[in-house]
Amino acid sequence: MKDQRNLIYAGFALLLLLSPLFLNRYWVDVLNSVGLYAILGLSLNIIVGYAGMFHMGHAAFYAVGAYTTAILNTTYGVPVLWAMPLSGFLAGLFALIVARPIIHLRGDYLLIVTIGLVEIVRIALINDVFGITGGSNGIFGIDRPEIFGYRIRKPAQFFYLIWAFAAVTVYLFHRLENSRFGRALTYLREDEVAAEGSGINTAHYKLAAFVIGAIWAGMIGTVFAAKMTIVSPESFSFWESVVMFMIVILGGSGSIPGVILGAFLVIGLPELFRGFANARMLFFGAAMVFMMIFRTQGIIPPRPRKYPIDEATP
Amino acid sequence: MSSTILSLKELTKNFGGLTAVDNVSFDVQSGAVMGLIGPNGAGKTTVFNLITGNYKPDNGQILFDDQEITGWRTHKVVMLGIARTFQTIRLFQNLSVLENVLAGCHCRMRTGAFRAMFRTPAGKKEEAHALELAREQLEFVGLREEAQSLSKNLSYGNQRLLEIARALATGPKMLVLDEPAGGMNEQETDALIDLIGKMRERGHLSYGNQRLLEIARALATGPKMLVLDEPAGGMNEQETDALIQLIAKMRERGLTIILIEHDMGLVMRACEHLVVIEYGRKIAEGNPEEIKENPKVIEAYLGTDEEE
Repeated sequence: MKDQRNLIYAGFALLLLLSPLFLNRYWVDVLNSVGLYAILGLSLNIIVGYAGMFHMGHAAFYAVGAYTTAILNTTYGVPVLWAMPLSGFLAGLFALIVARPIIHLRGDYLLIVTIGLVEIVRIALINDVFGITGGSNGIFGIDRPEIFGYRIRKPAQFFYLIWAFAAVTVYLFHRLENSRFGRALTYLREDEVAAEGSGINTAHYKLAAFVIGAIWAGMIGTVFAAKMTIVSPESFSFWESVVMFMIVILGGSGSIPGVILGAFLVIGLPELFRGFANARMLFFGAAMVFMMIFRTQGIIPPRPRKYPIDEATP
Repeated sequence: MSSTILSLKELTKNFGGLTAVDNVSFDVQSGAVMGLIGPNGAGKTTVFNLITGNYKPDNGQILFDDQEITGWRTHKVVMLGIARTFQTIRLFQNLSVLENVLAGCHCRMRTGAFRAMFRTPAGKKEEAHALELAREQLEFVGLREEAQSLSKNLSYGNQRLLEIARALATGPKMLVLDEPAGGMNEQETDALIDLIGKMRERGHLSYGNQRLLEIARALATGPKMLVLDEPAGGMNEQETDALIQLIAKMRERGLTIILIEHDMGLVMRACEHLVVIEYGRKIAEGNPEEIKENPKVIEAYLGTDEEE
């Protein structure tokens, strides 16, 4: 069963790897969006899926990253990809500052505050804070990224950049999930009092989950800025946060393959149903309602962790 | 005489207008098994919550190992060496038995996010060590075989019954003999006893095993002192016997144990020193024989006319 699953994942990865060879530009670009949202979903998954904190303001961290890159590149001429570490760092720092006072909130209370957070960021960007965000027009004219002197411009080139990033993310987050750190987040989600009573510094781990999620969202913000060559406040609306949240919940909260599938469904499917125009959102809403009733854990729920203890004495 | 490991000094805790713990002081000798008993609502669990940092006292001091720990956060208290079990079972129901124990190992490990992502040799070694430690603890309490089962269907092991197990597993949480008759009328108490009986008949959801798992988790933190809150609550006779043996074994390991219990049989057999509290105040202290004879204790338990 397990091997079968891994086989499916491997086949899927291979198909994905080759897809730019047989898909046209439009569909490759759709896959690029799926990839971006998959990574965003994975970063949100650390907060929502592993630690069980309802965070619906992830677009705020995404925005910090994207704007950091845009400003560094257009004002200071920093090459786009070089701006990535700083974008991640600033998004993480921002998360540390804003999450610290709200970290003790639970469930829906946290949800409401994070919604407020993303709105504050969006409105601040529109109002051109510090005179560097370009107001409602945003910032345009961001350079294309360059790797070893090789300029990334076409969708197919972006495809490999984005999905390579996704692969690295999956690899690192998978390890994170199966570690003391990942377990601590799970304990936190399962029972905060028991976790604290077992010697886990719950406040620390909640904050750490937020910061790691934000760092990743900030870094992917760099890729977003490079891909679009323009960032504007409307790209980081509350709706964006809802989409990310939906990806995690629909695909399987706390499950890496689940979140990736979620990205395909939430971002890819509407493209497939373009012909239905507005009816697709209706279909989509119905699907969500259906899921919430019949499969609350998501399409691919997380698998229990395995430990080598079994093999010692079968 | 051995040294004092834990010392409570004039501990007071108010909840609004209610004084749950009123000026309670007592010492616990290193390596002792001490029972904290008293009628329902006397404030026993509150005393525990004060010791473990779940509540902050309004007044008074708690000293552990000559260190003041008053008002410390729980995880720091655990790191210092006080582990607890809860009055109501608080396992991570959806995680395996092993993972529950690994939670206890957590505070003795150091791997952070960075080490985890890049799986450094030090991190790997530590992980292997933690697994070994967790396995040992499970062996110690006799749950080694159950390591990979979900803790919510402990002793069930049958996935077909998972649905039932889940329902039952949430049931016991409410059923723990927390304040067994507190706020309950006779009928309700009867129903409660019935329900516990029924769960046992189904046979396999051994409540006792869940209790033992909790103890294993607490042991995995490498504590110097163990605080058990009604460890025998909801256990049958056999299980209680096993628990008494376990307490003795733990003591041999040099652990100090404090427990709250309503099961007088267990208290009298397992503890050598008892503190009795009522209405948040300490009313008696001494060895089981003395306590049994103490008129104040008898009055507290049996009540007098004007009290009822």
